[in-house]
Amino acid sequence: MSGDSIISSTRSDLQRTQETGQLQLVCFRLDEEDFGVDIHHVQEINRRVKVTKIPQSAAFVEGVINLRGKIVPVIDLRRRFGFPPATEQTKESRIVVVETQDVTVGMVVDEVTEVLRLSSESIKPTPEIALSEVENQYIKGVTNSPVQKDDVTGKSEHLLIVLDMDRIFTQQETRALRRVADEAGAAAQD
Amino acid sequence: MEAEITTKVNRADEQFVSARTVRQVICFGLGEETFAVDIYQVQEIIHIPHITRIPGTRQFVEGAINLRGKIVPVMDLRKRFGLTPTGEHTRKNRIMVLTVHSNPVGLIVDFVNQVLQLTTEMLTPVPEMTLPVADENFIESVASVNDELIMILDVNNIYTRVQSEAPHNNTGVTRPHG
Repeated sequence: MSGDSIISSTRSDLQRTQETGQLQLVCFRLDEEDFGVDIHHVQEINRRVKVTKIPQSAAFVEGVINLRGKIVPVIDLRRRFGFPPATEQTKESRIVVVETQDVTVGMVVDEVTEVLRLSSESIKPTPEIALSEVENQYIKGVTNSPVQKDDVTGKSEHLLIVLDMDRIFTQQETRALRRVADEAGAAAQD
Repeated sequence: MEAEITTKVNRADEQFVSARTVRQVICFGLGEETFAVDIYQVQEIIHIPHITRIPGTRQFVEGAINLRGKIVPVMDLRKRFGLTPTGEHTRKNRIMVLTVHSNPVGLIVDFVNQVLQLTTEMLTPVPEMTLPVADENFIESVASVNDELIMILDVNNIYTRVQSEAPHNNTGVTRPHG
């Protein structure tokens, strides 16, 4: 895929969202917080398999998995977001495989909660004060989380952070991810 | 009969307030010090609810809260002021929701204790020597009340605005990266 086709696919994504005004988000949890990614980016969701560590790889890369013959780099989103590392692996832990920015990447999450359909209007921009110059441009916005509801009041105190998968990696990072996948792939064939 | 007296007292009180008070501030504690903000800038004071952490934010931003459906960013004032962070929040901790640059912003403070009515004599500008070198001037003035100094915050300086990448700013022209 060339750079152009990414842009055009993003455009058609945008158009689609604008036309229907609806978004479908795959929601997952990391250390009590809820995140959502556009379902169009999600290729599949797997139970946690063994992640092969790659020496000398970028810090945010946890390793690679063999996905039916395809070598896919895996990143630890907790580490990427500066959250404390998971104390234990639970049965709920999943690898969400996403296709974005020309790479296929697995993201380790604590649990996948649900697929949510909501109107794009309900996603509010990130409060200005919480923005940083470069670091979190990958946050599309914030919405009230319908996932974690209070049992008594039926209201949710939590927020859902919607990630912009077209921006989640820097150019450098996508290069690093591709390299990891290529090298591990070549090693597997030897 | 008694009611009449109280209304009289109240009226006298009001007159006293309007005659001598120049501003009313809400005082709160942070470490050993007492700070205050102008009452008009305070939207509400709440107990600390669940704070959703937002990845990649500046270090003093704790996250955001859902305030009756409205998304309000929350800042830890201790971190902002370079004091030792509180760690676990206690029952006394509060979030003061203020209006900064016409947006709501929550500040975590140790406790909120009183509303003070200040007169001109009590207020002094910040001594020049203590002014910070950088443009991070959080303190607008100092009030001395019963031998105690209370620092009044300039809430509009509490954070510097980040140029957000608004789509209408890149009018078709894309600059190559690097």
